[in-house]
Amino acid sequence: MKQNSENETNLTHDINATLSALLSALELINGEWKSNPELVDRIVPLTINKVELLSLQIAEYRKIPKP
Amino acid sequence: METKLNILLIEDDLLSRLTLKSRLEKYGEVFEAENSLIAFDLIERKKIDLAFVDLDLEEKLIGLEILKKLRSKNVHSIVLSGREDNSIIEKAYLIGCSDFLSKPFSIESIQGAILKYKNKKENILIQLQDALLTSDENLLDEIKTLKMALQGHQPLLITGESGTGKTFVAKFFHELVGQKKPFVHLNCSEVSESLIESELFGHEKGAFTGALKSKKGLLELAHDGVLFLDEIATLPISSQSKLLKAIEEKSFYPVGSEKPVSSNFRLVTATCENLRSKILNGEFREDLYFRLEGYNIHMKPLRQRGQDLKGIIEFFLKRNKRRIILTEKAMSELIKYNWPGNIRELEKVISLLQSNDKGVIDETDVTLILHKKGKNKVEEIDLEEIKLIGLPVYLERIEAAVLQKTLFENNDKVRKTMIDLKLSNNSFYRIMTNINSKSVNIVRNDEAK
Repeated sequence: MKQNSENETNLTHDINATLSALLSALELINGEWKSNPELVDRIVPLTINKVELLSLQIAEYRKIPKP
Repeated sequence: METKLNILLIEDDLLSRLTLKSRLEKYGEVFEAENSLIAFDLIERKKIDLAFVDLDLEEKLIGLEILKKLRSKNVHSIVLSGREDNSIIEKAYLIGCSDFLSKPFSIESIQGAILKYKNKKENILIQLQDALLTSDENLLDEIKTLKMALQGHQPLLITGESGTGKTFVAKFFHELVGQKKPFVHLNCSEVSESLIESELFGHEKGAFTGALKSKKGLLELAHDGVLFLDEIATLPISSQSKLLKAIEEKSFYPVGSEKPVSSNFRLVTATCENLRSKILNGEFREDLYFRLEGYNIHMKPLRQRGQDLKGIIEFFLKRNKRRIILTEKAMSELIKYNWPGNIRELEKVISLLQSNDKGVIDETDVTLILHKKGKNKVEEIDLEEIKLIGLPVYLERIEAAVLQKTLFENNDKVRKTMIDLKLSNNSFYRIMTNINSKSVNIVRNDEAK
């Protein structure tokens, strides 16, 4: 039970962190894709990886039994 | 001039670090640390002004240790974390972080945290107190609201009589937000009802007759800066709902366009009218009022700032190169006056006194100017003439003279004139038609003489 709660806390933190990275990245891409292509080229692949990570994290979170 | 900051960004996630770094670079030099070792090293070696700290790096909650180090170096610290546990947030604050921003955070919250740091450094209260030349306790309390507004994201509403310094405060707010950012100022009373939406939201080519090319609206031009809407009470009710939506959603549709435009602006509005009574009269939307009233500053009229008045007079006297001396009685006349036009009127009176031939100004010089200004009558009542031509014709002449004089004073701005004289469209055009049709007769009569 305690293990589940700890997992949930950690995953919540990880999902929030991933969402934060994604939202900032998308906002940046939205504002800079024309004016700063070098930066956007670095960010886009990282963003794609993050989306995949988010999908895994959410699936993981759903597996945790809820009380 | 804005000082460049040394910013330490401690974040183990590459994507987060890259995006945040690119946002922070406009504030100064950004030093990156992807783990605690690099962070400790940079804190030792560099003179850091402020730090953004992710709590979880290569080790869970190692960020709390970094906070302690930053605290010992007196560095202003901002935590960025996805942790939702209150005990951790409390710990971070107890160690000494200034702000705890939850992930995912908005760019506005980052900007707000930086402004908070800048304010702490620059102490805006003292700056504005000096600029407004005030030691009035109530006014100083109002100024504190400005400080809160700067850190928050809600709009700022400045109320007060004409000439009390509302525009000055709005411009000061802009300086605090960032001098290099746009400051877009619109006096809503100076734009005709039919053009106001196009001014605010812009328009597409061909959106209406005369729209020969597309034009950006002021909301769009104010992106990242301050949009100051003066005389907001005069904004037509038909445009109020669109403005409300734009404030809430930070996006809007230019006239004739199907593509939304986004704009992130800080909104400052001002009015000398009582918006609550306008709401009761159905002239102002209550929902817009509640949206505008995020932070409210009321500027006191000059007649209620007795203790400041002498200092303000002396300030204006010293500002002009041609120095004059006011006798004690002259000063006392100025202090006794009730200043209906507030600081703007005082500035004008001092300027008139300074253009006087005399170098030493006594009370008669002062009363002469104040009396002339107070006596702003179009013409004296001439009972004999009224009896001769009849009251209706006399009143028509008064109407015409008042309208022409106000139009002249307002540089032919029709909407402002209608608002100043509280005239409806119909009344305005009725009087104008009278003026136009009778002017010929008047000339003929004059010629006949």
